[in-house]
Order: sequence, then C-alpha cells, then structure tokens
Amino acid sequence: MRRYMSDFVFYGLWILTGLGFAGVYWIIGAQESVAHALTAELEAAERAIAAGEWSRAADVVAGVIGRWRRIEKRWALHTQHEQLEAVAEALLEAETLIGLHDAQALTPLRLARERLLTLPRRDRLLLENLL
Amino acid sequence: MIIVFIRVLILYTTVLFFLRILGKRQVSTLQPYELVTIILLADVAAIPMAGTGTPLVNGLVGLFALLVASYTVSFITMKSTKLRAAISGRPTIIIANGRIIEDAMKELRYTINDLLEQLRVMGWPNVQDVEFGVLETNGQLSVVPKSQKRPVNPEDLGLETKYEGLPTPLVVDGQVDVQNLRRIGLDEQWLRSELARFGARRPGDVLYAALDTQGRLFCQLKAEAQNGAPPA
Repeated sequence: MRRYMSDFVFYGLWILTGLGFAGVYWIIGAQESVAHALTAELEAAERAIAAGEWSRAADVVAGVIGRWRRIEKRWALHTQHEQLEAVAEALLEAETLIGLHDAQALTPLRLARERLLTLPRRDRLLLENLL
Repeated sequence: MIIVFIRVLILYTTVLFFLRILGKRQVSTLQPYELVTIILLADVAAIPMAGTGTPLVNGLVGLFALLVASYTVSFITMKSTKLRAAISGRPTIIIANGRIIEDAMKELRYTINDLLEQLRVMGWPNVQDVEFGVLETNGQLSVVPKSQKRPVNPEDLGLETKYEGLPTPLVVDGQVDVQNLRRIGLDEQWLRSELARFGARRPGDVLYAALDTQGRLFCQLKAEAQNGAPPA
C-alpha cells in the first residue's frame, strides 16, 4: 500500500485537475448564459431610451442592478473584484442618467454590456488570454 | 485587515500542507525543480495574500498548479532515469585520485575557491587527500577520502562492536508514547514503576524518557518536577 501511495497521489492530483478544468468550464458556461440574459435586458433598456420610455428603461435597469448585486457576490469568489465593480459602476451611472432623462445613459449601458460579456471570456482557454 | 489576516492564515496552511505532500527533501537538499517550486510557492501565495481584490481561489489554484507540476516532475524523475538526468542533471566527478578535473570544473562554472571552501567545510583541507570529489545534482559536494586518510573505524582495528539500534522514546514532554511501548512489548504500568525510580510521580513530570537497545532507560525530569522531587 505504502509502495503505491506516490502513484495514488499522482493520479489523484491529475484527476482533481481534470475535475477542476471541467468545473471551470461549467462556471464559464453559467457566467456566459447569465451575461447574455443581462445584456438582453440592457438592450431592452436601450430600446426603451431610444423610444423615450424613461420609466420602463429605469425599471429594467433597476431590475438588472438588483440581479447583478446578487450575482456579484457569487462571482467575486473567482473573478477579479475590480472587474465586477466596473460593471456595477457602469450600471449605476446608467441608472442615474436615466433618472435625469439623459440620452447619454446609452453610453454606460453599452459599456456595462461589453464588460458583462468580457467577464466569462477572460477565463476561457484562448491563446489571446494565455499570452 | 481581518480579511488579510485570514487570507494569510489560509495560504500559510495551504503552503505548509503542500510542502508536507512534497516531502522532506523539499526543505533540506533541493533538486533544481524543487528549488523552482519553493521560489514560486512564495510568490504565488503572496499575490492574493495582500491584494484583497484578487479572489483567494486564484491563489489557491496557483498553489495547486505548482503542487501538481512539482509532484508530476518528481513522479517522472522517479520512473525514468533518462528524464531524471534531463531534469535534475547528473553528478559530476570534479576530483579524481587527488587531482582536480579542470574540464569538469569549467563545464560546471565551479571555481577552485568554491571547491576549496567546500573541502575545508567538510574537513578536507588538502585536495590530495581526496580520492573522489563529486558534485551532486543538488549542488552538494560529496567527498570520498583516500583510504590512508579516512578515520579509523572499529573494523580496521578488528574490534567487535555491539548492536546499536535506535533508542525508543517512551515519554516526550510528559506524554507517554503508548504505540512505542506496545511495539517493544511493555506496558504503562512497567513504565510508571521505572519512572518512579527517577523520582517521577507521574509521566507528566518527565521531559524525555527513552529505552535503548541495551535495555537502559534514560529519563530526564522536567525542571519543576526536579525541584520538588528527590534526586534519581
């Protein structure tokens, strides 16, 4: 038994590594689906702004912020905190500008969308991320 | 502040645990790949230690990656002699028959001063007294002295020696090692009666007690027990 302990640890470590890789890909997949859902809502808010429906835009963005606050706590376990804060900042800026009925709210909304979509992409095993 | 403190504790425990898995060699004589692990372990652990904006799991994954890499390399070097030579190098003879091998020294970029220093440290100030000097893969110099220059041992003198095994610790810092007691076929009752001869009323009074292979019991009492107890 003692003789094979080293082999067991070796294979155990690589099994754990494989499970870890699978887990990371599962997390990335979950992050991507959440990011797509949120960006779809933000696009709806953008359309509402373009149509001059400020109260609908405000409701949508408030809903997104509420969801984001809950998601942010979980994502903070594996994502750089400043990247998460950057999304929150853009959303809050958009909310403020929508409250002022300022069409410039479109800029932070687009920024929030882009940042949301970038988050899971950064963890993907891509050459651009490795290098 | 509390977060940094807890992070340091978590990472410290993880590094310690990983070092234990990597084994004793990791902290004493290091092979090149082991040294790399040690150097990187500290750096990888330090990243999330102070940077609270970095998820702790990033640091733990980094440490785990190092553990996997180091364990894999040591596993490979154990299984394959060719890869062992490629990864750890080969020992190099730098002194043969009392003469320094200049080519080997140049190849290793090992200076005469380094060699003489190592020889002096090992108690061999004269190169001509050394039969072989081997620079090991972990950077340590091994010396095989000439037969006329090595210390005399009982075999040279034709003396019979008794078997000297390891003494068995029975009490360490007041704690009885029951496993060791059982291994040598003795019990706690025997131990207590023996310890009483040294003035120990209970095992807790004993700093260290061990039984050697000749059956002699060594016992040292704790200072507070010595002050109140009769001399052994």
